[in-house]
Parts: sequence; C-alpha cells; structure tokens
Amino acid sequence: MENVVKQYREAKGWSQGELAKRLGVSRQTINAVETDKYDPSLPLALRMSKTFGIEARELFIDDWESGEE
Amino acid sequence: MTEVKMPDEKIQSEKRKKYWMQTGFGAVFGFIGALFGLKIIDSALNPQDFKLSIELILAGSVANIYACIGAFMLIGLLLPKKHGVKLLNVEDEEELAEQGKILWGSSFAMVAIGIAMFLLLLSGPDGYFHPAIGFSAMSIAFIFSVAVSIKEWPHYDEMMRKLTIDSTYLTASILFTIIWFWCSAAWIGWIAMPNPIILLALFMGIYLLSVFIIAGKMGLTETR
Repeated sequence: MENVVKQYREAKGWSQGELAKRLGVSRQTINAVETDKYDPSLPLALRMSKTFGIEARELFIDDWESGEE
Repeated sequence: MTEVKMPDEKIQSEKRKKYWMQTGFGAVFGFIGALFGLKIIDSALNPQDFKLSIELILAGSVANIYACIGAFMLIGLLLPKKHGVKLLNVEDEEELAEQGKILWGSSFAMVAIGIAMFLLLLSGPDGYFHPAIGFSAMSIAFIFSVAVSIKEWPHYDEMMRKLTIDSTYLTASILFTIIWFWCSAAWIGWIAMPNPIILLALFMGIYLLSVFIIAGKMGLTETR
C-alpha cells in the first residue's frame, strides 16, 4: 500500500531514527514502510497517524472502492 | 542525532563502497571457510575410506555458511566504528547499538550452530570424534539457539516478527514440497531415501534462504 509517511516525517523535520523512537520500532521498519516494502499493522498505522496528528486515511493511500452503490 | 546531508553522488558512492565491502567480506569469508571446513572434514575422517560425498559437501557448506555469517556479524559488532556500519547494513553506530540487542545473541547462536554441525559431521561410527560429542554439540547449539530466540523475541519489533514468521512459513512450504516428492519417489523405489544429514542440512539451509528471500522483499538487503 502506498503512503506519504516520508513526506509527513520530513515536514516535521524528523529523521527516520527519530520517528522510529517515537513509535517504538526500528529504523529499518520506518525505511521499509516509506519505500512501500512493508505494510504496517493496524496499531502501528494508527500510532503513525496520531504521531503526525492526522487521519490514517491521509497517510495511507488505498484505491479500493466498494462495489456497492 | 545530527543528520549530515550529503550530495546524491556522494551517497551513491558510499552505498557502492558499502555494497562491495559486504560482498567482498562475504566472498572471502565464504571461500576461506569452505576450504577450511572441507579440509578439516577431509583430513579428520579416515583418508582411505573417505569420499567427499554430496551429503558431506552440502552439510559442510551449510555449517560453513552459518559459522561465517555469525563470525561476520560478531566482527561488525565488535568493531562498530571500523567495520560494523558497513558490514551490517545499518546507517550509523547508533542504529547498530539499537540492533545490538538482537544481534549479539543471534551471531553467537549462528557460530554455535555452524561449529556443532561440523562436529556432528566429524562424529559417527567411523568419525574422528565419539558420536556423543557430535550429538551433544548439536543439542547444546539447539538449546542455546532456542534460549536466544526466546530472550530476543520481546526486543523484536513488528516487522522483525513478521520476518521470522514469514520465513518459517516459506521454509515449511519449500520443505513440504521437497519431502513430498522425494519421499514419494523413494518409497516406490525410484530414488534413494533422504539421508538424515541431508534432511538436517536442507532444513538449516532452506531456513537461511527463506530469511534472505523475505528480508529482500522487505527491502532489508538493500544497501543503506
């Protein structure tokens, strides 16, 4: 799933290490999320959005649409 | 933490240096280790009856890979400034210190597994050591590795846990396929039954391969 974590992180002026510390994960995890190699769990995605003070749907881009009208 | 901004060209050149250092160390260690390991097996077993069978080459190579990767990691941890950052694919010493919580135990466990496997290969009915030595070494290495895994698990973050679980699943899937066809064909007499040391080497080797495949998918093998 694509995301804009890197853009929000850079806008805050944080390094990957700094964001990793705030979220309690490794730098490798932040790097993997930012490069779309790893989709974070729901708890981590929610923690990320809370850390940036935005909604999770603003951080993660999902093109899926329900078939129902 | 202070971040030093480097121009793109310099970053790429640093990454290339890191990549070649990792590859070079791996190749040199692997080559020397393989020569050394096979030489030990070759000279320790009875030279008259001894044949360097495919089982010994495969199991010896797996033992060598485990021991070399473990040694490689230990050098990186012991010399973080000199080699650690370049060898262990981390950005800086701070990250290496963070990863140290899970790397120290794993590196010792890998060295222990490699040495135990070598001792096992050199033990047996016509072996250099008493069979109990090989079995004891494998038992100690197993207990030590399990203890390390249990101790390190709480320090794993969610991606590392997923890496471990996915690698185990991939290992099981590959082995299930191999054993399915091998045993089926062996039972009806088309090919020989799997040799115990080959089975052990397959389990160990395929697990390592699975970890690299999954780590690659997660971008962990890319030079940073």
